[in-house]
Amino acid sequence: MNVTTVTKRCTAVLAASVFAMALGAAPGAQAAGPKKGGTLVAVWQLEPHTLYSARGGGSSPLIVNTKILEKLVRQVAIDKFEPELASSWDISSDYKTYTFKLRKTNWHDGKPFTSADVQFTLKDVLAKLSSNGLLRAIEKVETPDAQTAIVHFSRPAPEYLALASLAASQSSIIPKHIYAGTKYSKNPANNAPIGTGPFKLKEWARGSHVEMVRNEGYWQKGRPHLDRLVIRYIRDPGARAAAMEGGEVLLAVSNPFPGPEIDRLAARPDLVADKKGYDTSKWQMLMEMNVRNPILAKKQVRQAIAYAIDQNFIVDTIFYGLGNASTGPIPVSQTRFYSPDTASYPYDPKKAGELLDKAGYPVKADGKRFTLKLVASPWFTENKKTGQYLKQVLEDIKIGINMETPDRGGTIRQIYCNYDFDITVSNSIASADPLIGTTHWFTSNGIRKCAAFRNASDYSNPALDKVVDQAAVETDPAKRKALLAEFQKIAMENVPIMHLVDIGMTNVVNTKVHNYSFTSQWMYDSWKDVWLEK
Amino acid sequence: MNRTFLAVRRRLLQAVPVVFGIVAIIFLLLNLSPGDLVDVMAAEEQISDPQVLEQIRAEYGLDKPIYVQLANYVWNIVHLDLGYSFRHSQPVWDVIVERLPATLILMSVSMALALFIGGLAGVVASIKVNTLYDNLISVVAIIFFAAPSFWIGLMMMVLFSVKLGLLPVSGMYTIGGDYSLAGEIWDVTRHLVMPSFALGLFYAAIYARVMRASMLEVSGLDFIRTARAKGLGEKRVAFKHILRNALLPVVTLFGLQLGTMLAGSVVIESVFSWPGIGTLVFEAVLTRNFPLVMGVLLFGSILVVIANLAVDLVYMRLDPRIELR
Repeated sequence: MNVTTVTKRCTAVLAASVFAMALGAAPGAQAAGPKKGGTLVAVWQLEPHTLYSARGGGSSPLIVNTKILEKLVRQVAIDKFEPELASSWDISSDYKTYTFKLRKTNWHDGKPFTSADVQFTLKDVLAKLSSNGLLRAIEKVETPDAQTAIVHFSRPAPEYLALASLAASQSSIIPKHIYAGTKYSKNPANNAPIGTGPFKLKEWARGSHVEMVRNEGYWQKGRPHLDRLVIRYIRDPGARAAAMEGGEVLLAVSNPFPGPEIDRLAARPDLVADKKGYDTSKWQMLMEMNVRNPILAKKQVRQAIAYAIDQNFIVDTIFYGLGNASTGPIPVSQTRFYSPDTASYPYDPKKAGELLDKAGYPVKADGKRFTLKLVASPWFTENKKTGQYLKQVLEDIKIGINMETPDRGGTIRQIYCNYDFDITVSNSIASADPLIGTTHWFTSNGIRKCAAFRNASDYSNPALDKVVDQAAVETDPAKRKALLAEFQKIAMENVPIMHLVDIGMTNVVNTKVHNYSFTSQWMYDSWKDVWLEK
Repeated sequence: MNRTFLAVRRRLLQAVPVVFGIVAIIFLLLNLSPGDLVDVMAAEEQISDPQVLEQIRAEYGLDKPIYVQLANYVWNIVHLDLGYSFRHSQPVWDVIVERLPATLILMSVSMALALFIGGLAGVVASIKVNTLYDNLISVVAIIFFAAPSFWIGLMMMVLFSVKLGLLPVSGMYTIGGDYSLAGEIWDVTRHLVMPSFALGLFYAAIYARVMRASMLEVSGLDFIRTARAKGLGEKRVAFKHILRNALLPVVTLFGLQLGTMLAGSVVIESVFSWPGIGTLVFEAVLTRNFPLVMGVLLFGSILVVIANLAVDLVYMRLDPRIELR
């Protein structure tokens, strides 16, 4: 059921049926019906610095505030959206105007939720702070009545891009009466969010956990199933595993343990390793090549380096088989936009050597062709290991490598601010729509000093820019898909960034937990449908 | 006593320039590390507008030269203001005070355990020197000294929580447990057992070794022979005469280690998710949240200064010949 072929109208009824299908496919749904009550304790590795940040703030705040705050629409699968705070929407024929009908509900502090909140969030917050170009193109939001919000974009907004942007984890609607006229970065509500969602914040015990309780006034009758939701912070993976085994924690999302540990835990009768729920929120590991270096500015050199890397070795040995070799900037699992029709670089060190000879970099008297500085980022342990692997294989083809592994702050400064690298090991998240978080790694306007996780390679190609600009406004889904296929083709032909691995995402779940992982970015879903066996 | 009071006051006054010296050195060292808070936040928050970054730097006062930043910081400290943690949207003081009690509980219990177990083991080893007891104590002490405390912690967790189900895995209290005051104390105590042993055993091993050596040294001195010649019992000699004099090096070590224990608790707090200051400062360093790091280190340096003073006072009790000057 493709949302763009359904017509431009999506009603609550239709979405409800879609939702029922999603539920039917969910694991555990075949067991007896949902039970009400219980406390779900989930574990997360890093305590957030704040529970809400208008700019997103990374996964640690988002995993909490997406249970408390809600978005206009909810993405339940790659091609499925359902109403959340908006009960339905209409799209004008020029795709510049989206009219949302809003639900009647209240904020957790009892004040009514109205179109003014939507106007405030979209126009005053997201349009100013978001890194998403489409949200920045919101021109105005009209509020003819309390239950209607009309969003005007300055350019045509392709339906999929618009809905995916509004359903993104950072696009939560926040209360105008709390935030308007204040300094967003210092608002006390950042540490005690007030939302419309299924769970209310009860307590944030710093250093330990966040406790949320059921919102009795939630607009959807019968939701949430849980009485309480607790997110505990355990930094050490060994301690997380022990907490899981001891039954103190029932759910661990987003690769909580090293590969072999996941296998060991999943072998227990009370635990399951689950790989669903990340279709539009998957991590990739990538290697940026700095084209400011005249050697790397040559396409043949970049391609040679690509040929020298055995991606399957990285997947099998470093990731213990949890993942697959990337073929480009869009992961294979993002079936809506993924295109296999690109240049590929199967492992062939001999060919790599020949390409380098041809490019004018023969092996010199010191046994090297040239020397590069490799910066491996520290946020995943696999990154450093991959850095060591890259050093080995590149030295095999006689490229000298000086590897550096600064800490988090140092890495960000070195790669994305000072551009002090030749090649890197870093990571990206493949968002639902490539225009949200993928294309800016390659486009000229993605080159912004000190803006991390964008184009640090300094690669600039007018042909690629043009394709991306067109995809930003192309409203015909088939033409848009073709444009994005062309983007992947140009990106892989020139490889300023080589995506190495689509990281396999795993949740470890206690068998008492039901109805999990059925949306495409489930970690950031509200978890209102989860229920516990007594 | 009056002389002691004056001496203490003088020592406290002398501590002021020491603390400010520490502040200046830490401040400069921290600023030598690459990257600042805004870099990290920009990455997390996907800020893509360089102008916004400059605005934030200006708001946080990071755009000024380092000596101005240092002067501002010192000026604020003089006014008892530790600054603002923009990352937490809270004043540094509040962030620290929220987390300090957990660390203080863990530290004091571990230190007490270490002193008690280590001291006792050292005494026993020295009395039964070159026997099976002595060898056994030495071997166990070496094991706990050599094994990393996080590993000991994890092994305890696997044994006592996962396999035997006797103790809670981690955390400081049961989440959502509604207890009476007594119930709560019992709950925290149960949670405290493993982290305090994991942290304390390492120090206990050191104390045992030092205690043993020091006891043996003192027991060879003339006054001990005199005591024995007076016809005092072995027990009385050991505890009244040898132990009291052998305690001095242990007390010295104890004072020095109060500071390092703060560092050791970083590891144990991570392993056991103990909501203390250790994990807070670790995260603060990684994210270059310098006001918070400075605040915690300031606390730490004051703690060390006070601990050293306390150690000197204890010296006086233990050995009246020592005078505080």
